[in-house]
Amino acid sequence: MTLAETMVAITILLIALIGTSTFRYNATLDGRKADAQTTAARIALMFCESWQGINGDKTYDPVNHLGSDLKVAKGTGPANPDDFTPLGSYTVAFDDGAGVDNYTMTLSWKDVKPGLRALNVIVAWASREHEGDGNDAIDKSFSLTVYSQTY
Amino acid sequence: MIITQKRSRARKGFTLVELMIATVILVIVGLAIGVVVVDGQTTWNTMYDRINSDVVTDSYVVRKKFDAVIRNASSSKLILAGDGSWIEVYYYADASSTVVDRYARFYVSGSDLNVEYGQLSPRATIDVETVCGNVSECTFKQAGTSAQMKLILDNGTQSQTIVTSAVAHNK
Repeated sequence: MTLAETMVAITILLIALIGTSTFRYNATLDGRKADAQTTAARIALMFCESWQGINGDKTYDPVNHLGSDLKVAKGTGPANPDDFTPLGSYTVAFDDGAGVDNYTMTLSWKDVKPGLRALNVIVAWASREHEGDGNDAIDKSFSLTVYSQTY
Repeated sequence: MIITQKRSRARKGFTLVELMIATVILVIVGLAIGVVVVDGQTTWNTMYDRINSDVVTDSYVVRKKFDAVIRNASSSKLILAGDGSWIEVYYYADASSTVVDRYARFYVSGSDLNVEYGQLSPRATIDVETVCGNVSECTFKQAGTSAQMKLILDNGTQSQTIVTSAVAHNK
């Protein structure tokens, strides 16, 4: 085998190696992003369902209701939607077995009409873009609104 | 006749020093590539397990089942064990039922999470379904008409914590 043949073979192997590594890196990154978004959606749904269970009460305290199962603490969170009255902002440290991820959230409510209340939960988490588009420092968020009878 | 042998000044190979330097460089580059490949493979395996391992896929099933059963239940009554080890909810058998005539009970047996379906009058078991295995901890709580479940699945190599809440939607 000549030197040129050897170099061609090495080049082909390196291209295959770099291609595989790039694919796996992007797949892993996408997996992490999807995992974070799914977890945020589940947290939002869980808080909505829990709050809905007590008819959207204005004194709902997530720390009291979910604090024994989740690491929930009072903290700062994303801004609530216009016209909604904030109930509180919280930080959720969620350990899914592969590490602890922190989510911030804000709960707010609005009386749509007598007996019907809209409950809003916004969950935000640190963005993991690394695509050089300047959005690295911006948190992503997931907002969910449910309606509850108040009687 | 005098024959003189002249050593050719043209070099037809590499010296030992050149070969050693090239070998050292190759080893360093090879080790660097190896570290990157191994690190990438480890990250890939971790992510793959995080999405596709048995405890993770079981957790999807558990959430879905818990949500479906609790949301189908009547909000008139939920019974919870004193230690939170099981929860029982009640539901209508079908659209023609005028009273709540069925029950569903989540409980742990050994390392399995089961849901038992049955009729109320007279009380009789209709079916017992195993939702998932590898349960190491399971507690239920109640907040008004919503039920909460904390479940930890552990298969010995991976642990998955599930915390979920669902509200009973029916009257």
